[in-house]
Amino acid sequence: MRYGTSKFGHRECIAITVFASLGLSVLAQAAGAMQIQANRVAEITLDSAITYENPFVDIELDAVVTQPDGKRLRIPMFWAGGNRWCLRYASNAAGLHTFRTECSDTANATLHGIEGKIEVVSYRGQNPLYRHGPIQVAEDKRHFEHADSTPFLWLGDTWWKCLCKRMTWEGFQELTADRKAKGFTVVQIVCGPYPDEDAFEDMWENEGGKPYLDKKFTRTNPAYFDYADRRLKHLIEEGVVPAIVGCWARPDCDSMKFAGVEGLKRHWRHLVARYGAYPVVWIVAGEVTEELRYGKGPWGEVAKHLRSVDPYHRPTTSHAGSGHAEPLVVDFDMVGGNHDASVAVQPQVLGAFHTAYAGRPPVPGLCGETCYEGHMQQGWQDVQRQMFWMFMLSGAAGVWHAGVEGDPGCASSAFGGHKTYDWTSWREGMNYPGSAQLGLCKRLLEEYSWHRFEPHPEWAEKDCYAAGIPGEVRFIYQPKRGIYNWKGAVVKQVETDVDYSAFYFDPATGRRFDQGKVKVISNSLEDLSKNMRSPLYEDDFDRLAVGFEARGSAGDWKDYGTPTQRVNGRLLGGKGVLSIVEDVEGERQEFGKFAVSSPALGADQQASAGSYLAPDLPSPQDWVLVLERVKP
Amino acid sequence: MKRTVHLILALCALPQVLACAAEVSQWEVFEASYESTKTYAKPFTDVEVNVVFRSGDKQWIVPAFWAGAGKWIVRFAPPLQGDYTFRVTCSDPSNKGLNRDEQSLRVTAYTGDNPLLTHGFLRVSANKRHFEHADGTPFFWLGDTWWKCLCKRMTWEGFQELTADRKAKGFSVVQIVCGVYPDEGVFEPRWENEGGKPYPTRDFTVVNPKYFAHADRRIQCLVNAGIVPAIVGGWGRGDCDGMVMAGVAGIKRHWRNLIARYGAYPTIWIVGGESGGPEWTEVARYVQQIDPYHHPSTMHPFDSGRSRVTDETVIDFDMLQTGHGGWPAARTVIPKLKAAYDREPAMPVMVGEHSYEQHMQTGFADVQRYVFWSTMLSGSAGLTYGAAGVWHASVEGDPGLANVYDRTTWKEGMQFAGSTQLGYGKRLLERYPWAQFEVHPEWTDPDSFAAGIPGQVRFIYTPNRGVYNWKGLQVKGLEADIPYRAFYFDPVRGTYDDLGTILRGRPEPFAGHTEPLLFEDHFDDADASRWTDHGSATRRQNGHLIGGKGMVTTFKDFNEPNGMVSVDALSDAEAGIILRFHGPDNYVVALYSPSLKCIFLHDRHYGQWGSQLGRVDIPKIGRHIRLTAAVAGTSAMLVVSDSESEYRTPIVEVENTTPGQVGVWLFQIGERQDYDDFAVSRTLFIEPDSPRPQKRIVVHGSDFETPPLPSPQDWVLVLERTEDAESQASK
Repeated sequence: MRYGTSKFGHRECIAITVFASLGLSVLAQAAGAMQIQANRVAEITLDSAITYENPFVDIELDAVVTQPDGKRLRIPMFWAGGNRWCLRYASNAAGLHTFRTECSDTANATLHGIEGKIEVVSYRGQNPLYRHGPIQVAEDKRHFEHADSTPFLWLGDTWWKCLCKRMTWEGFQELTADRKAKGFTVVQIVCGPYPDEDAFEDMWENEGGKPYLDKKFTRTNPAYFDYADRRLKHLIEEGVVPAIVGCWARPDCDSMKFAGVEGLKRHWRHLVARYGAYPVVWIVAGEVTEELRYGKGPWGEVAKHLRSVDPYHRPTTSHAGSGHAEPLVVDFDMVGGNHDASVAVQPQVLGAFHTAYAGRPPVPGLCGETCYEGHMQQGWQDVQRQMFWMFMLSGAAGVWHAGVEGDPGCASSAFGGHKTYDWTSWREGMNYPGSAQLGLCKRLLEEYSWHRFEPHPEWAEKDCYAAGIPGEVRFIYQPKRGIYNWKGAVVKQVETDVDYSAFYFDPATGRRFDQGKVKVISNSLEDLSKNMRSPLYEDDFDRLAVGFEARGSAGDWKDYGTPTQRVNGRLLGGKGVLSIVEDVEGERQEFGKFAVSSPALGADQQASAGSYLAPDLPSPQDWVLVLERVKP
Repeated sequence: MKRTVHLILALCALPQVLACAAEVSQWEVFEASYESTKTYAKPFTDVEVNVVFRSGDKQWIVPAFWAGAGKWIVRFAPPLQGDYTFRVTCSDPSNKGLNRDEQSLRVTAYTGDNPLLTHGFLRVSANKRHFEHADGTPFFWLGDTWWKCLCKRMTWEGFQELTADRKAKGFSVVQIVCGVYPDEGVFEPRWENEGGKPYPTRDFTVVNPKYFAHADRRIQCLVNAGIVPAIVGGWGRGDCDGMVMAGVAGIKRHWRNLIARYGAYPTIWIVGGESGGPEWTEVARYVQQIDPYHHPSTMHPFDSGRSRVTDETVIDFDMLQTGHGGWPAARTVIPKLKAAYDREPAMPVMVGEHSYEQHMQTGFADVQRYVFWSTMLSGSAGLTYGAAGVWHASVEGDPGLANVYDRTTWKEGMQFAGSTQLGYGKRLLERYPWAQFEVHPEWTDPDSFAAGIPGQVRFIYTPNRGVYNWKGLQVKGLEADIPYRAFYFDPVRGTYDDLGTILRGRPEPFAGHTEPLLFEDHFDDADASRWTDHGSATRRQNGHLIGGKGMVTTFKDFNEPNGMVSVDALSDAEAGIILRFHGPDNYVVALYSPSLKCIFLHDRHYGQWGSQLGRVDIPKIGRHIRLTAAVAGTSAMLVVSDSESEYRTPIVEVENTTPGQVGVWLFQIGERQDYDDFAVSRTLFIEPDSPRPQKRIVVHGSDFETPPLPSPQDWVLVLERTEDAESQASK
């Protein structure tokens, strides 16, 4: 037995190799339990004494793990090349986990019946995916959370083809660092047949070649997956969740046509064995038919197979659609938008999402693909911002961002002939401003209990999006209304007598513009009086002379314009009057930014009670207005 | 400028004409200063000082400017080489220091590499459509907007950085205000530069030479970089109206000061910003009168400079402002430009302000490209771009605006992509005699823009037509027998996508079955063993092959790369010839459609039909038709005829190039098709394997569609006359 590291020396994996030459299962036990931190992956390899002609299909090998609480999980193992098989396992349950292997070739004593122990201890690092655990659907079925219930905001980037070798390993790390810095939490990435290219083209390869050697997926290439391992592990080490797409299903690049149901099942078992122990999300297929979501047809069969072999029940969906029904084949709805920028920001694009949100049983919904930034030279950062907020304030569990455009390995035959959408390189695409701006927006949301937000369209005007927690916090996104338009946002149905502080958030730069306190007071003088303070200065203009116990005097005033005079208890002035009380002292700061709306404020008559017209926008563009209850 | 020649004429030292003449290069600034012998309460207004330069029979009366204390300075850029004399005169004849004897100046050839000095100052070209240097070299106006970049928010280091950026990108003009600023109250502190405000009083009766000394450095920096300063004398809009504040007399004084300071540089004068009316017209006339070089001048307007002056003769070109706000505003540019272009007498027209890039978060790079290319191919004399942040010299915490449009900083705005992309466009145009281009909308579709020189070069810009649209460009009216090298130019990246040579040849290559027939079938017998039905079943009856909807029937025993097939059919149903058949989802079909009344080809690929290739409308045809289709290499074509007429598609390009079967087809129009007299041969139609140094596309009409766009975005198609590949080879 030896302890070692995986092929690329990744530090988080602890590997044990049980040499076939040593033969017996007791060897693992004899060495005692290996120790692994919670949620990190233990890797245990077995070497077979029997050589199989096609190890990928000739045998199946599982490990049955018994957890400290007695719960048993069946973990698929994968063929790692040569005579070697590999078990990857992770758990957040501290204590001793035991396993025993089960091989379809029960006569192979070097693979069947091997036993071992894994001791899971506390995680001591800062990676949220280990510290809080893999992500799962939250109890309210509206968002994602870590295993310890810490909310998880899905801000995804699209890297469909970033396991191929056009993207170098160095480039992959650079891109990961960029996305991590900007706040991205998910990367949608294909590990299987690619979109927009024909099956088995050379552009599918990574440094290890193609993942499979035949179209039926009966022969796999471990070298491909070893290189893929390195990239997917790197994402996780950087705190980014890989949302692994198993294959593509659009007619021009339909993996079902060549691999068939059985081939795709093999592929998914393989992916689960390789990556299921990691905190991943599964996307069964890209651009696949709706029947998958209902467990019907060949795609439904593949999806059900994935659920049956995944012992961790990682969140699963398909790309992209909005249907689901019990028994659930998908755990959340990933809806699509539109790649035409002029369409993508239209409210009707939310139709599929509203359908998903209203579906029963409830599941989280999010947008998994809409207008990529700069795709076909349109869909700029203003579109990205608007899409982010329209989904996030409509109840989405997260948003996808269009990120790494360009190969141009995207050569679609879907539109007649091999055609390229765009020539932007990944590095150019990486630097598009939308990604940074969406990161700023995500960080703003994370300052609040965003996971408790509910859509409240009634809080805002029709062209805006509003969500929040009544009496606690309100977010209103007001799209750009055109040039030279500084008109402020209208907030409707503001609760009476709740002290809010307000600020405009610039979704393009992250700048904040304080708008002071906001309070809608009850419509009665009595209530109004509670908010009054004693006057700092009064003048009834009754007396001229100094020295009386009068309220105010001419000496307090200065005429900057035409002169005034005090006559019969009046201050009289003519054209050009500009008279200032010079010496008032007091709590100016209390009033300087104290905004009180009258019940009649607000353009919308229906909202006459409790409407608040926010001050002018800091500039004519899209803005987020945030009202947060002032803490006592 | 580094090579400015300074000549200080101190009264005490130089009582007479200099013994040795000063020397300066042509177009470089010769600077001489004079000390007054008298002290004036208001030197700026109490006296006027001019210096008269003479060479041969030519004379230039050059205003001098008060430089502080008792000093006056004249700057002169000699337009000619040779010997000059000059003499200073003052409106106060008693001031001996400012009324001097004649002096000498020798002017030699400029030997530096600054194009503004190599070729000389700017002027309007003889055809009144563009700008050119004094030596006739065309000048390409690609301007940037730096309205407020003389103020101190923009540091001197920043100014140099911005200048270097714009120079590197190819900008040739900078529009910059030296006077009252837009979008701020008059005499705000933000108007100041390192030397303070330009004028201490609102009537411009007192000047602050320190302001102008700092401004000098920046103007000179631009000129040294080969960039023409287009100096705006101040703003005239209601909320920031210099005319209301200083009056005509004050603005004239200001302009005399500007001309004295900067007239010796290769400048453009923009008399007022968002200005117009009789008073500004009067100022423009004054500028014309006292500028000894007659630099091109205009008025920056709300709409058209020409429309805003009350006397058109006081400006040399029409500057347009077409509105901000991205695409909605961009789409109004061309009608406005055309209206200005059509006015008589002709005058150069150019857009001096449109959607600044990312101004109020609108007007991204795609808008900038559209306005550049659409105007440049519609007769514009140039274009001025603008970027948020740059035009208002915005810095973090102070965007320099009373009403804040945008908080982009100048450094952020400098990096916006549009500036780079417009530079690519300018450089491409400069490879051709762009100044001789004329507008030719008839060369392409109405949504595209075309200009060029017939028989020599064609530029066609097609705007982004929407996502998933790779359709090629329409080229119309192509001259016969002129080989053009064609390429797509990517205005985003400045890259080229070669299309090879395009030649409108004589129709010759499609001559029917010139090769021996390999197979014929008249469908007279029942033997269908050599045929396969991949779709609906067919039957052989009365000498016809009869098929219905969904018919995909191929002849098994032909599997050649190049083939020609002919067959008789009826025109009341779809009729199609299948070529290079590899399966029901992958083949080429050349078809006649009775519902669409046209012929075209499909390159069916993985079940996708793709676009209609080479579609030709057939308004009328008899019932009995014959189809002949051929494919060779990447070329395919269909000919359909009846007893009276013949229709041909152009030669189209197909991606399916592997050998395959041939056959007949009916997809969905018509209940049945009766095929007869099927024949197949090899073909020499467009010999694909002949050695050819480059790609060659032969078109058989004056109008054709170019190959699909490299990606769905805006593109520039360039056709330049070339030696034909084959004629080159023969040589």
